[in-house]
Parts: sequence; C-alpha cells; structure tokens
Amino acid sequence: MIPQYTRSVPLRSRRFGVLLLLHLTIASVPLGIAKDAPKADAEELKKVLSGVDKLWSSKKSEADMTMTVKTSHYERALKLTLWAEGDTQALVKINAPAKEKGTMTLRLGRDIYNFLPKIDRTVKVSAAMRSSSWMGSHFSNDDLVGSCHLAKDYDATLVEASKHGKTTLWTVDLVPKSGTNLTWSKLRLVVEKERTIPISQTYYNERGSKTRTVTFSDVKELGGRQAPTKISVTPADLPGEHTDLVYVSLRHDIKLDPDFFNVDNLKSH
Amino acid sequence: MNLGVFAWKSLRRSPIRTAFKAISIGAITAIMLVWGCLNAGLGNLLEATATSFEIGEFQLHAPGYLSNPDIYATLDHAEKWQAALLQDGFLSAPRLYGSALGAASSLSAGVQVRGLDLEREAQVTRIERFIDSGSWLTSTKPNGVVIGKLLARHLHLQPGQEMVLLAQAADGSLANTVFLVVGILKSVNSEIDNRAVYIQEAAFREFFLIEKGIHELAISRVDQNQPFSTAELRLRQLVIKPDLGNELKSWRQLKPLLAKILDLLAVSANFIFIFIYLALGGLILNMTFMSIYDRRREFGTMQALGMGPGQMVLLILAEAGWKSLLSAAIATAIGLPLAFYLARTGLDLSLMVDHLSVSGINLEPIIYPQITLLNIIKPIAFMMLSQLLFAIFPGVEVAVMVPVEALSPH
Repeated sequence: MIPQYTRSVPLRSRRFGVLLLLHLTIASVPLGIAKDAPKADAEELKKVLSGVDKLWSSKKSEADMTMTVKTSHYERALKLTLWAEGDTQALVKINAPAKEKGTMTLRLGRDIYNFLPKIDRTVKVSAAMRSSSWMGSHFSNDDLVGSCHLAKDYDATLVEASKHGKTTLWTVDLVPKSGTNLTWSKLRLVVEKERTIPISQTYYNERGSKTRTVTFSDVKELGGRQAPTKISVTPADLPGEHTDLVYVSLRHDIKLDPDFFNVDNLKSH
Repeated sequence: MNLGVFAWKSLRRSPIRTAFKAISIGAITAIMLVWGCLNAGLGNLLEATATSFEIGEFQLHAPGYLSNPDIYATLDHAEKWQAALLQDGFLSAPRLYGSALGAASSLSAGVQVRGLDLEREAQVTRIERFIDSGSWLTSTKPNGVVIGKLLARHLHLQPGQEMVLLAQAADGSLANTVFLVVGILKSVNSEIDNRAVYIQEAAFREFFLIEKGIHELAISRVDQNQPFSTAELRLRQLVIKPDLGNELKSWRQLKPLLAKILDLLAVSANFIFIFIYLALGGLILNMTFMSIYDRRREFGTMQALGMGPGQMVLLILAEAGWKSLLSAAIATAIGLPLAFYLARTGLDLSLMVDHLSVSGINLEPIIYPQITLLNIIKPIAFMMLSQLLFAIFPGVEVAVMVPVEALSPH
C-alpha cells in the first residue's frame, strides 16, 4: 500500500499501502441513492468516484515519501521510495533508518516478497501473515495486495451532501458488490465533489464495527496533479496511535527496466 | 460349629464346582484389575503429555496476556519470582513468545517463536526428550532452532538446514535472522506441530529486541507427592497480589477439555466396574441358586436339626465370602503379574491405530498401566461386594425353606 501511495498522485498503482487504502475508499463505482438522502445523479456520483480513483493512477511512477508511526510502545520514522507499474507491480525500498536501509517489499500480483539485506535473503510472505503489520505501521501486508477498483467493485450510495463555501462535501457509503472478495464490509468516503479529492475514508469490518479511518490532507500539486500529500491512518481500537505517510516528491511516466519488478533482481536495486 | 468353618467344609465337599466358580470370577476380576490400571495409565499419559511437554502444572502470566497475547504484556522481575517459588517448593521456567514468518527456500509459514531458558525448562517440562530427529537446543549452538513436525514438513526442513525468521521487533523494526534447524520434534499437539519454533531465551531477546520481562512462567511442584490442590492454594497465596493483577492458571484451567476428559475417564471407570459386576452378579445368582437346589435336602436336614433362618442366611453368606476370597486370590495371581508385565513393556496399540489423539494432544500409542493399591483393591472389592450382595437373595430362599418340603423326595 505504501508504495502505491508513493507512486501516484497521480499514482497509478493503487494498491500499495496508503494508495491501496485510498483506492479502496475511492474507487467504487455505482450508485444507488439512499432514500431521504440528498439526490445525486448516478452519473455524477460515478464521475466523482472515478475522479478520486484516477487521482493516484499512472502507468509508471516513482515517489519519495516519509512514513512516521506512533504507537503506545514506539515511534519510528522511515524514508521510502516507491516504484509502481500498473495495478499489480510495486516495489518499496527503505532508505532510512540505517538499520533497515535497503530492505525492500515487492508486490507481484497477489504475492509479496521481502528482500532482507542484513541476511541477503528474499522471503515470500505467506498468506497466514497477510494480516500482520507492514514495517511496524498500521498498514498490513494485506493492504499491499488488496487490489480493487472501487468503481467496479463497490456499490455506492450518497448519504449526505453539505456545502462549505464554494466546496461541496459528499459522504458516500461503499459496499462491496456480491462476488467480490474484499476485506471490508463497508467504506464511508467523504469527498470534495468539485475537485474529486478525498477527505477521509472509514473502514468497517464484517460485524459493522469501525476499524480504522484514513484521512487525506495537505493538498498540493504533486506530479502535475492536485492531490493530498499526507495520508494518516488511525486504528479505531488503538486510541492515540497513527501512521502518517507523506509524499515528498512524485514523478510520473518514468522509464523502468522490463525486469525492474523481478524477484531475482531485488538485490541490484 | 463355627459357621465360617462349616461353610468352608461345605465348599470343600464340591471342590470342582467351587474351583470353577472361583476361577471364572477370579479371571474376570483379573481382567478388570488390568483394565483399571490401564485406564488410570491412559489418564496419566494424557496429563503427563499435557503438563510435561508443554504446559507445566501451573502458569503465571501478566494481566490479560492469555486473552490477548501481546508481546509487550510481560511479567517483570522474573528472577525474583523464580527464587521465591523455589523457596516454597516450586520449580519454574520463564518463557517468551512472539509471532514471526518462518521461511526456507521459496516456502514460508506463520510460526510462533518460543524462547526458553534451557536449564530451567528442563526442570519443569520434558520437551527436550521429545525429539524426533536431530537434537534439542544446546548453549553451544546459540542460533539453533527446534521446530514442530508438520512445520518442518511444510517448509521441507531437515536438521542441519537454515531457516529464516522474519518478525516485527518490539521497537517496530523488521527483525530478520538466519537460524540453524538442529532438531525436529515428535508430534505433540496441533499447535506445536504446525507452528512452534523453539529458540534460546537470549536469541529470542536479541531477535525481538526485548531486554527484560517474560511472557510466561511455567511452574511445577518439586514434591510431586504434595496434593495438587494444596500446592495450588499455596501458589495462589504466593503469586497473586492485588496490586500486580497477575494471572495464575493450573493446567486444568488451561486445558479444561482435557481435564473434563480425565474426570470422565475416572467416573466412567467406576460405572464400568458397576455394570460389569452387575452382569457378574447375574452369573453368581444363577450359580448360587443352582447350588441351593442341588443341596436342598442338605439344607432341609440342617433346619430339621435346629439351624434357624438367620443362621442359614449367614451360612450362605459365609460360603459366598469364602468363594470371593478364593476369586480374589486368583484375580491377584493372574492380574498382578500381567499388570506388572505391561508396566514394563507397555500395551502397544500401534498395530491398531497410527497415533492416539485426545483433545488435540497427540500421544504415543503405548499405554503403561498405573499400578496403585487403589487400582488393585478396587476391582477386587467390587467383586467381593457383589458376591456377598448377590448371595443374600439365595440365602433368604434357603432360610424360608420348610424342612419337610425340602426333605421330600418330590
């Protein structure tokens, strides 16, 4: 997930880390409109959601970012570089702290690999470990591979519309379509309608309980697009804890070797 | 004449019939004696497997650790606890637990890393004796690991091969180290078989970056003859402090299903004794009645010579008493040597079953009988009691005989 975020702003690979979260939140498509809810044209709602979806899309991208993690037991800061190609390939490299410098996470389709320079090994992450934390953050390995297209995979319902000056904020509920294999039972997205910029995204588990909230802030021009440059994840059951991911730079449509996302070439990056 | 002597002389007059009865009942009792010892042995095996290979007799944890095994939920001052426990007659072994990804070549699996103090662990459990291949951990190989049987199979690992462990350390960083597989355990239970990776305490602390504290203190009695309930009470007084909120659990609380199975084994053994001896009672009743009808002239003569109804009942009971003593002697002569033989060799069930698994605990399919005074006396006492009880009714039948009718040839 994190990698994805890095990539995009116009980030194309939605899946890595925050990107994924964002994408999940954002990307759903279509729309039923709730009774007693503000009226919205289905096409208009779809257009907004697709706009959010495209916010981090790009064919090939490279991003530098920082990640800070605060828990009740530790605080840590990491500098990362993320490369992404399409929706299925992404690579995150840790540049700092020195102890973990050179550690990489590669996502190939639904597989995740970690390259560990300290022991010079590449380890495939088993399905059993998908729900565990990624690099001590509030992102899980599952977040890295949970690819979905919100527009295709979710049914959207406009719940609320409110006017703040010239800005219209839409609250949209996103429920996975039947047949999709998605982790969350519902997402609630708050989005700025005019610029299709997400404000927050709340995740609900199968029991309908809130599990975490992702907020998007510091909208700036990044990689030629206006997009949030700071993404914060706050788990619902761990008050005071959060992970912040901040874009430092983003470059789109870069050139990458055909073998760049090859598990055998990780050592050379 | 003394009724007891009279009864003994009566039995001697039909030695074959008496011997047949005593041997048949004695043989059944011998079987029950051996079965009772084996049943107790199975219970012992279950309890020993649960406590000796994993749990210990008691466990002490930080508040909430059992319901939410958080790597940060540690017990502090472990050394102090261990010293205090030893003074009060308890051995203890500190343990540390952490989740990790275990990998070898292109395979990986979620594992539970268990950090042990080798010296202290050997005082509380016998896990080191449960090695299937390779050897147990030694201080000479600080990066050695011993893993569960199914985990080894899943990762295609053999002793002498390398295993990578990958985990989140206590400071949030990515812990990763190459360990050497030195041993693979026999099948213990599904959790250990599939997920356990044993390493030394120092290696665990270095890997997970935990400087102090432990997750679990496994405890057992120094004096195994001390009653379990007394030990538990003393232990609670010692370690449960309101200000600390520590949680002490006995193995029965940690493995409630197993505890219930053991209770059920003990209770069911008594029921089986009762059912078997009720069935045996029918046989006794039948044999006694046959004997009475064969001897009705003899009983009629005794009554005609002045023996009262009470004396007749006592005579029959005395005869039953003698027969039960003979049966007891035969049961002991057959059952005890057989039980002692099985105690030496064990009853090997491997021809019938590949392995025994009870409540998720895998057992070696060899059962050793538990020979105790109670296990010997119980089936014999049940037999003697049933012989006497089932002689009362025939005794009453004899007591109410009318001498004239009894002596009549018709």
